[in-house]
Order: sequence, then structure tokens, then C-alpha cells
Amino acid sequence: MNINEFYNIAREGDRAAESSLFRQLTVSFRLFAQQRIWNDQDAEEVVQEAVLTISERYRDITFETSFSAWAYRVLNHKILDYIKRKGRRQKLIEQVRQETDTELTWQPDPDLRARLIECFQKMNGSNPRHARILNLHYQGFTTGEICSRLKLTDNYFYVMLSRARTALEVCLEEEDTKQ
Amino acid sequence: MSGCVDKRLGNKLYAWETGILPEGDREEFEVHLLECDYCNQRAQKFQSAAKHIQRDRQVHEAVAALAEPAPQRPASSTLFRSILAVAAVLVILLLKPWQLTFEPSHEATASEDRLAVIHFANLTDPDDPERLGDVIKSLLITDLAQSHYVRVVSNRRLQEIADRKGLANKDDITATALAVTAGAQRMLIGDIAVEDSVTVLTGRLIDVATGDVLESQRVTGAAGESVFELVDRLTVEVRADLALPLEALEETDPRVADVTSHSTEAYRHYLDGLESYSRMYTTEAVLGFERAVEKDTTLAMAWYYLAQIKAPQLLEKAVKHIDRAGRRDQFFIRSLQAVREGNLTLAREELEQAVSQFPEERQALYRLGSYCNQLGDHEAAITWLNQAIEIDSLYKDPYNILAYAHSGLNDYDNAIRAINHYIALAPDEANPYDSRGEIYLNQGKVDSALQSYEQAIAIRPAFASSVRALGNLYLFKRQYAEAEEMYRRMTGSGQKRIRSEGRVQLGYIPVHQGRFNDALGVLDDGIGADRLEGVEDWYTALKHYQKAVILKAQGKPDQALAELEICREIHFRRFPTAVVSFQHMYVSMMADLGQMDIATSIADSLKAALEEHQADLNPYWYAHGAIEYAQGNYEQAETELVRAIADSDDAPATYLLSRLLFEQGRYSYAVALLEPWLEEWSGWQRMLGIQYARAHYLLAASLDQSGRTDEAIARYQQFVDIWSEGDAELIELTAAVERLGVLRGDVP
Repeated sequence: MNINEFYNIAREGDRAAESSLFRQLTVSFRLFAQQRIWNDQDAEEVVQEAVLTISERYRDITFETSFSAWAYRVLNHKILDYIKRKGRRQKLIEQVRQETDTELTWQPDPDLRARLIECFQKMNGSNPRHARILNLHYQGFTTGEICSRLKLTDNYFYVMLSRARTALEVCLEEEDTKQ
Repeated sequence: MSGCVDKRLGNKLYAWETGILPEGDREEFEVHLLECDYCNQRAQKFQSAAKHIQRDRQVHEAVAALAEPAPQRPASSTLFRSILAVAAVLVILLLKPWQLTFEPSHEATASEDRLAVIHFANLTDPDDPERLGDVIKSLLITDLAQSHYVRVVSNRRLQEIADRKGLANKDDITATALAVTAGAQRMLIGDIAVEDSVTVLTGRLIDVATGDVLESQRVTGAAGESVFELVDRLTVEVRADLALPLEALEETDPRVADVTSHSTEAYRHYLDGLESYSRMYTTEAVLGFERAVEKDTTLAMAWYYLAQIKAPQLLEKAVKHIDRAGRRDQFFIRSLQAVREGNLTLAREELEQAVSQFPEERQALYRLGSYCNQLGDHEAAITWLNQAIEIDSLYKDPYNILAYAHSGLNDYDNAIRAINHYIALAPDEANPYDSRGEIYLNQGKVDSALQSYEQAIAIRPAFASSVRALGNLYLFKRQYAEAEEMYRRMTGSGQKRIRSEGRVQLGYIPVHQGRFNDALGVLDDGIGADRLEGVEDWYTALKHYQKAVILKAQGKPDQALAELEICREIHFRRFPTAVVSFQHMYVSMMADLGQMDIATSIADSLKAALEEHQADLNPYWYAHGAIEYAQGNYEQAETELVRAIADSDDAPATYLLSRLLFEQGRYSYAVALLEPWLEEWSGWQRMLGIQYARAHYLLAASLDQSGRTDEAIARYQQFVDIWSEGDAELIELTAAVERLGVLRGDVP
């Protein structure tokens, strides 16, 4: 059952559905918030604020689109408020990057790092553009610029990345099995 | 858990996880993640890895190292030559500082020269039973083609030229002829000598125009050195002598064994397979490729060819080992993979990249033209196909697609010109005549089409496409005996599917003539024969559908419904993922029989499926129009039906709309719609059967009501002629006969 279906049932007063709804929402919100807020504790705070707001208001609101779209916007506003509160001189749409290691709560896993690098090396033989795309991204090129440089259409760009991801997943699972 | 609910967005998952996705696309994608369990679970599972890719500096550095060009091979003569070149420049600068002039670098233009590796002669064993010469030549071509700066003629292309021109000898004159035909400015010819287990390869780089030997190479094998390693070393020598741009020195140069095979025997079998494939000796080709993969299961291109000529599922193996294929071949594998996934757009993009780097690959150009044509980009198709023909004017396959591409642009003169060229190249093949028949039909030239199809079956009496077309054309012309002969020929086909199709086609003849009881008998016989043969396919479902239509016309709704249900069950059992098939016709019938809930539910599913596949909604507009019509919402029905026929020749919608207009007394509109429709050929007419005949009646009655008496008489007569042998109880037939009598003054 997806989030909108849980919402429809929860709205009628079904406690179990409500619990499932907010559990799913919290897990998904964490994914989104940690994409843009690299301090995991701050990200968790933002997620909890958003979930609280949604739980207080969701029964009374009439949506123009869907519950999921509305809930997403609640989270997005919370993330933007966080960015403003941090007072950094960045465009609102940029990711909040932690500038010093002391602010980082995320620590890399050396084992996963090694397996990732090995998989990238293996993949490079058949898909050298994968590394080039990532590298151009790290250097700050936009998607449009990357596509232009590598002479790729949008469609092909995403399909190619999707295939690279599948290859990476398979490689990581094989490495995992060998451990 | 089923798959992604929106693949277009699902493809963006990795871009989002790595932070590459543009900010403007973030909201749409993250809402998708909220709603799509499949993508959400994938994202959660991959989250740790994604964080490392996004945040870990060591991962960034490793990626940067992979993305940078690799350093050149160490300890090669290339390095020595480069040092000499730099030293020479420095000497010149020191000696003449005031008289320097800068001229365009020759290195910059050298890469545009094309190189043909013609042959390697085995001096030790001139018969060369192990095909060592061919193996080395092919490996060298593959190795050189890995460079972006070397334009080397493919082995495939050389084989095509050799076969076409009968150039089998390995002498200098033949070599030059091959190179000239291939459009090469330079050619490489070599020798192999084996003495005391030491192999020596020598090569001569020759200017094709003058015959001058420009450079020579020599590589002596060390003990235990494989053929592949020798070729690697020879490649380095040849590249050095080609005077490539300095950037070429920074290219990664993989070992040729890594992009072909590590087994000489496997590779030899692969070459055998390739040679047979180019000559269309399919059995021998399969044998060669199968032997190759027995010796080396990772030989990707052997799997690729087996996927094309033996078993499509073998493409998985080619994809699995794609990193063991050369640069050129990887395009072909990925393109075929995209086709098998139903993504013609991606297949096209792969081949566009292939031909931009390997412009002499005629088969790539042909396939690219074919995909463009299927995608509706006829102009691009024409461009690519013409390029294929420019490379080889005797390559007949492109002419067939070229004809269809021109036809797609309504340029029938050029379409016929192209197909006639194909006929000239292959006068003993049925296919070009069949294609020409189709092109004539696209122009509405029924008699010319008939003639062309007749020529096709004169060459191959059982050529199914032409037999089918002839049956349908004879049915349209009401030459029922000839139509029956063609459909019976189909029922005698060696293929079950065509036999099943022939049986339903036979049912159309009595339907067209209004002999409904006979038609039911023919269809029942067909259903019984299908059952005996263990066939249950689209045509089986269609037989039940036709029965439903007839039973409804006979005023037996319950029996009609029962047949419809069988039709639907068969259809969904056999084609669970079909998008349209004839579900819109099914909706119309259900609505007509008062089954509104079912009709609406199926119509909604049809719409969702069409939207998911980004297909035209015309079938849905017709289905929904039929529902509105059955419910008496005529204004809404008209809107939907007009949408359905707006940019397509949707015959069911045309018929239903004309019926609606007639019932509303809008006779002149009904005439305007029906007249051209009934005059022109359409493949739909045979399938509509009863409605097609009734359309004649509707037109006659509309003309009658509009006061166009003479025309009405002609049309009534035409209708009566069509149903002259019809079942006695047909209402329209009785009405038409009576009205004719009145209009002619036979009856007061």
C-alpha cells in the first residue's frame, strides 16, 4: 500500500493505518533531508518537525493535488527554513555542505569505501563515461553542461546512469558475498 | 513488490542519489519516491553507498583517477620517438629563432586518413590451415579501432567488399583494389613467420594512391608470448608510424585479448562464424559462434550474433560480458539491448554514436535508418539509409526501408523509385514486390497493388504477407471466390499462426455478404481447428469476437456476451501486457449490450495503459465515445469520436460517428463522412464486416434524406448487391429493397 492509500484510511480514524503512514513518511523524509543536510542530527530534527506539522494538520486539509505532494512541501519548507536559519551565504537551492570535519556526523565506512572503489574500477572498462560524469559533477558542472560535453541527450544520460547503478548494485552484492 | 510506477522518473534515481539531478527536478522526483514503493526501497538499500559517492573525498579522488586519461604504455618505441621529436623541435628553435613559421600540424589531419588492414600472409605455411593470418589481421583491426584517432576499416566491411567483388587473392593488386573500394588512404599488409617456436610479425604501411611503402614494422615474439601479446606490440608500432596527434599518446590502450578473447581457438571459430554470417550461411554461422563460446564463454560478440540468428535470450550473455568487447562492438550490443527492452530511442542514440565514430559501418547505418523509420522520423531515416547505400550501392536491404520512409512522408514517387531499385537488385525475391504492393495501397492504388502482390506470389506462392493482402483486396473488390482461394492458402500454411489467421479471414467472406449463419459455422469450424492444433492466439480471440458481433446483430445479446467473455479471457491469458489490441472494440460492444460498469472499467484501464506508454489516446476516445453514445449522451459522444478520428483513420469511430449523425438527422455531415471512407481502401473494412456493409446502407439513407435521389438509388443498389445473398431476416436489407422500389417508382 502506498502513502496516499494509507492516508485515505488513516483519515477515517484507523490507528494502524495512521501509524504505518507516519512510519513510511518518516523513513522517506529522512532520505530526502539527509540528501541536503549533511549533519544527521540536524536532518533528524527537521524531519521530526515536518512529521509533527503533518500529523497535526493532515485530517483537516483539503489537497489540490495529493497528500504526498502536500506532505512533501511541508518537509521542503522546513528544510529551506533550516538553511535560512543557518545563515550561510548560499543560494537557497544549494545543498548544505558541512565545511569542517568537526561538523560532520557522518563517518565513512572504510570497508564499503574500498568495495565501492573496486567496483568503480571494474565498471570503468565497459562504462568509462560513468566515472567521467561523476568527476564532472564533483567539479561543479551542471547536468546540462555534462550532457553537452559528453554529447549525450537527457534521455540517454539518465538511462545510462540507471544502468550504471544496476551494475554497481550487482557488483557490491557480489563483493558482499565474497566477504 | 512490482516495479517502478513511472520508469521515466525511476531512471533518475541514481542521479538523485549522487546529487547530479538538477534542482528543478528534485520535487517531482522526491514526490515520486514518496509514492513509489519500489524506488523508495531501492533508495533505502543503497543509501550508505550513495552517501559515500556523494561525500567521501577518497571516493571522489578514485573516481577522478578513473576519469583521467591513462598514461601511455611504458618502455615503448613511441616514448623514444616522442623524445626525439621534442629534441628536434628544440634544435630548430635554437638554430633559427627569427625565421620560425607556424604551419598546420600534419598530425591534426593524419587521423582523418583511413587505414585498411588487408592481410597477413603466413610465410611458414602458406595454406595457413589455422588461419593465423586472419586471426592476426582481425585482432590488429580491433586493437587499432580502440583508438579515437585511428580510422580503421572494419573487418566486416572488408569481408563484404571481398565477397562482393570476388577478391580472394592475397596479392598486391587485390590488396589495392580492396583498399580503394573501402575508401582507405593507407593500407597495412603483413607477414607471419614462425621459426624455432619464435614468431615474427612484419608489417608494411603503404600509401594506397602511390603504392609507396611509408613505414615498416617488425615484432619478434619472446618465448611463450601469445599471438595476442604480439598483436599488442605490433599495434604500438603501427600507431607510432601513423603520426597521430599528441593526444593519442594519452589514450588508454587495452590489451587486445581483453576486448576479444584470450583463446586463439575461440577467436578462430568466431571469425569462421563471422565469415559465414556475412554470406548469410546461417547454419554454418551458428556452428562457428557456438564453437567459439564453447572455448571462451566470455566472447561477447559471439553471443551477440547468436542472439540475432539463433536465440534472442542469448543477448543477456553478450551484455554480461560487454566489457570484453571492443569499443565499436559495444555500441552494437547496447543498441540491440535497447531494442529488446523496447527502447528504440535509446537504440537509435547508441547507433548514432557508433556511426559518428565508425561511419563506414553500413549495417549500423541501415539499422539506424530502420529505427528512425519505426520512430516516425522518416527524414532522418532517409538520410541514414542513403549513407548506407552510398557506401555500398548493391546493399539491397536499405532500399526496402527507404521506400517505406518516403511513403511515410507521402513522397510516393521516391518510394516507388526506391522499391523498384530493390526489385532490380533482387528480381527473384518476393519481398520487394510485396513492399511495392503496400506502397501502392498507401496511395489508394488498389489495382496497382493487386498486380504487385500477384507478382510476389508468382515468385513465392506461400509468401504470407502477399497472400493475406491479396485476400483482403479481393474481399474489398467483392471478388469472393478469389478472396476465398487466398484465405484457404493461408489455412494450408506451414505455420500454425497463419493457419489460425486464415480461418478467421474465411469467416469475413460470409459476414461481408450478410450470410451470418454461414459465418457462424465457418468461425466455429475455425475455433475447433485451433483447438485441435493446440493453438490459442490473437486470431482465436478474434474468432470469438466476430461471433459476438454476429450474434448481437442477430438480436442474441446473451450469447453475444458469452462469446465476448471467452474472447477476453483468451486475450488476457495470451497477452497480459497488451496495451490496446482490440480492447476498444470490446468496450464498444459491452456498452452496446448495456454492460456499462465493465465497459467503463476497461476503458479507464485502456487510458491508463496508453498514457503509461505515451501512446496516442485515439482508441480510448473511441471507447469512451461508444460508452457516451450507448448512454444517450450524444453531444459528449460526438466530441470524443471526433477526437478519435481527428488525426487517424479510425474506422470504428468513423462508423459510430456517422451513425450518430444520421440518428440526429444531420444527413449532410453523415454523407461527408461516409462517402470518402467507403470509396477508399482500408484494412479495417474487412474486420468491421457487418458495420462496413451497414455503412453503405447509412450512406444511402443519408443521401436519400438529403434529397440526392439518384445517388441514393446507386448506394441502395450497392448495399443490396453486397447483401444479395444475405440471411432473409436482415432488417436493413428489407428496408433497402423496399426503398429502392419506391425511389425507382416500382412501388407506389
